[in-house]
Amino acid sequence: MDKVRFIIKRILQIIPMLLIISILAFILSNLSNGDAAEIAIRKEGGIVTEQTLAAKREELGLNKPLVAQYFDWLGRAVRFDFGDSFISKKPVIEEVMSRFPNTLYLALIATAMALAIAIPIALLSVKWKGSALDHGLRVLTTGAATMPDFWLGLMLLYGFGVSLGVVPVIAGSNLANIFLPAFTLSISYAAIYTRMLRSNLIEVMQTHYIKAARAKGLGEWGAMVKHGLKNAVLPCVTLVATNFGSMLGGAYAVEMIFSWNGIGKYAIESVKAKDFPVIQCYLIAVALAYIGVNLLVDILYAYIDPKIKLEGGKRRLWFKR
Amino acid sequence: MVQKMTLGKTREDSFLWCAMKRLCKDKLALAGLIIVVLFLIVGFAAPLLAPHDPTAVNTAIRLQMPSWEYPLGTDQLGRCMLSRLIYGTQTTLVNALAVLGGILAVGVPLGIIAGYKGGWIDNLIMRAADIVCTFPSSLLALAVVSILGPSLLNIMIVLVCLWWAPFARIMRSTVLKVKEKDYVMAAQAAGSSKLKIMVQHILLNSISPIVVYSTLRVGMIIMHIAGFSFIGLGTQPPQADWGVMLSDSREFITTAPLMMVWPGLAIMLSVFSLNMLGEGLNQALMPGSSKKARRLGDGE
Amino acid sequence: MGNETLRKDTVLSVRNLKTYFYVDKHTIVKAVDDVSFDVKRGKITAIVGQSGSGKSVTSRSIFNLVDAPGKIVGGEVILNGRDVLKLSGFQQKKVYGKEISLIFQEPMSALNPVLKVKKQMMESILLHRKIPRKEALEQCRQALLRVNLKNADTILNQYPFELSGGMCQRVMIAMSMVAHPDVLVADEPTTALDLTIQAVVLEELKKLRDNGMAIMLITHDLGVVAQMADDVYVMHEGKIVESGDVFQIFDHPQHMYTKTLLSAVTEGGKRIGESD
Repeated sequence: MDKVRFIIKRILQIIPMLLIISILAFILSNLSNGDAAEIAIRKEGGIVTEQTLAAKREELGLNKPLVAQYFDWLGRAVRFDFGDSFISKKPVIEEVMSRFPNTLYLALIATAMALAIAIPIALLSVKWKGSALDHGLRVLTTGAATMPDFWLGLMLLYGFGVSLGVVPVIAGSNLANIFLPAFTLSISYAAIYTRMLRSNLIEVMQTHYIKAARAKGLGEWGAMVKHGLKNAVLPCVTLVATNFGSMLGGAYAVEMIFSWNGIGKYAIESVKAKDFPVIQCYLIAVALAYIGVNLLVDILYAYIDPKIKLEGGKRRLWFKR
Repeated sequence: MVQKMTLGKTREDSFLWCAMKRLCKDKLALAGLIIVVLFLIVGFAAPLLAPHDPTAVNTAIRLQMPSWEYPLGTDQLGRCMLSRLIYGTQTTLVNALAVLGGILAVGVPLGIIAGYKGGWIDNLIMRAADIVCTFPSSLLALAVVSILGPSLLNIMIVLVCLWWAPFARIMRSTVLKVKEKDYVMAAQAAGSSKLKIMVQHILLNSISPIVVYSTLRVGMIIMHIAGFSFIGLGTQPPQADWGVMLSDSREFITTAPLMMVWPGLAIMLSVFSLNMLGEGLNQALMPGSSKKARRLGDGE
Repeated sequence: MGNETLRKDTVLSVRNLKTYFYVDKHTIVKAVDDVSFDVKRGKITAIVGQSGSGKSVTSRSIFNLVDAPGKIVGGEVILNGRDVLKLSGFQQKKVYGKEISLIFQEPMSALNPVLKVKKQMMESILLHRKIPRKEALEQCRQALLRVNLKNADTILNQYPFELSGGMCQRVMIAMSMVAHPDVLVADEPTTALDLTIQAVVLEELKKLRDNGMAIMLITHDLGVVAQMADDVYVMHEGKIVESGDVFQIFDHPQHMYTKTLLSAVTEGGKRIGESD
């Protein structure tokens, strides 16, 4: 029963967030200085007059009362009908969905890479805790955590694209070229996971069951890898999932640098072009994805890992960017 | 079995002195402190240090390599990179400190009110804190900027709206701690006003976590502002700003790769040194509770 | 000749063991200070002492499990004729768990909470013997049945936190058994358990002794000692202050500390040997 109550509580907590995002996305867009009708006419190459403006406003439904407009929009939004893009004139949902897989792959591979980098480094620095290696890795991870991804991306693009010429500078979004953007995106997360895993591992290595495993003849390294790692990784699941949720919003900068055609890059372009339906769809879709991922993890957590709840260990949010 | 060989230690040293000594022992933190101070000096003495006008356009000398005249070279409009970098330091510092000021101005009073009043006000404020904590900052920034137009001020407002929560939590827990303490009542009995005593103790107890957390936060603020400027939603050209400079350099990645090195280095170095300093301060001001500030800030 | 049989009987011999904790620059805690004792085949050797007397550190030192700031600074742990502390890490791994196993005070925390009992037990076998997994599983099942866990098949597929403390401790004992060690070190095996289960666990240990295993029993409970032990070493502030067989210690305590220890128990209203 506790589990059910816990999940209901989480869902109730999420509703205000969704409401805020939808209201913000909607109301703020209507308070904006730019006149969407005017922009749309200019985009089509039409002439801006009172008549064409009025007609355009009528066409886009911009002349109804705000509240009515909101509910209109909300009604359509729940059916995933966000209207047409002001610019491409195509249904917004299609535009966003056609780019979403690119972002999804990027987020998946970046998450996998971050863990693949973090786990061995954490193991090494705990194995030789307090040594020069450990200190060196600490400086390195702090450096990586503070490395702006947009700068790292540029440097990598220069190094591999311009200097070495291994990858094309304007690569496009095909999966063969996913390595560099995913690596760029993963670095700062890898640094965060490394630190978290390291401190978890140090805690775990003090426990009796690790001592018992060592006494069985596993050795320190064997006990750490076979017994400690799983315990150290489990509390990170929440953070990894939360960050994965954030990545689904698109890593704007990374996507822009590598011309990766994901929803982050699209959103930025739409903001610059004041393509409001696209932004609204983007906001709602990303908020839903983000919330969905978090909720899923909460539910999984409640079921998979009663031990962590038994111990009273709370889900820990480390410093997330 | 227990054989203690405690040598004479003077315990009379003041708290601040001890903290200073601890901080100086941590070499990385000390290095961080020195770099931060250097950045502050460069930022506030920018007009004295910059060799050229950071906005003076001279297309005749565009994209030059470093020379005596232009130590870091020139950008695509022939502006002096060094001067732009120095003025960029100024804008970055001013902006980051403004955001921090905003965060403190919102978070600290809210935290005090929540802790002091309790009841539904406390509940309301803390639920709001929960909500803004889980809000992805980029999403809200994008929403606001898309409506009000790309400008640094909007980004700064968003950061204030989202990042006040950790400070409110710190203040609230301090107030609750102080409220429970007997010495407040003792002092009250002795005739001092309750409010005065509480303010004193709250200040004394919260200053360490606030300082530590502020230092770490400024690094994050710098990174976020630079990031938004880089994608073109923050600081607008021609103002000199590290993020804008990086953004400019993108087009010249093949022809003038040095252009992207300097602003990136500046961003990284400043954030890195702030983090090192913050962690050092954490150890120095709150020994034994190395993760406390962080937990209070982001943990639930 | 007599000397020869004595040496044959002695499976584990700890000689002049010293484990110090370097707490800070100025403080050294001598947790184990020049401790020597023998553990013989088919006997239960008890190390008695109050908490903080260095008993547990002794057992950890035998397994080379002392973590910083602690350090084994001297002495030998001679197991089956060789000093295990001098073996390489690789050779040590072959000894620990195979020739000597350890049971912890807190059974709940000594089993890894996120791995199934099956996995942890089978690991104890497969680390030291190359046998098919199926066979290993069967041996685990047998071991669980031997310690009176009737629903062995269910338990094998459960996680430790789904079991009670007593069950966990019996699982631990079974797990130590499957590798057929020569010596079993039991560090306060019953302290965390309630009285009825204590009795069961102690019975298991007695059975093992009767089958010829050498058991080193670490406890603060003189009642348990009186009931179980053959040889007794009394430990106080990191040193062995008195040793002898169980009757000698109880009937004619020599050292002041032993006398105080004994009187504390009798005055507490508990008659020796009837703690359960």
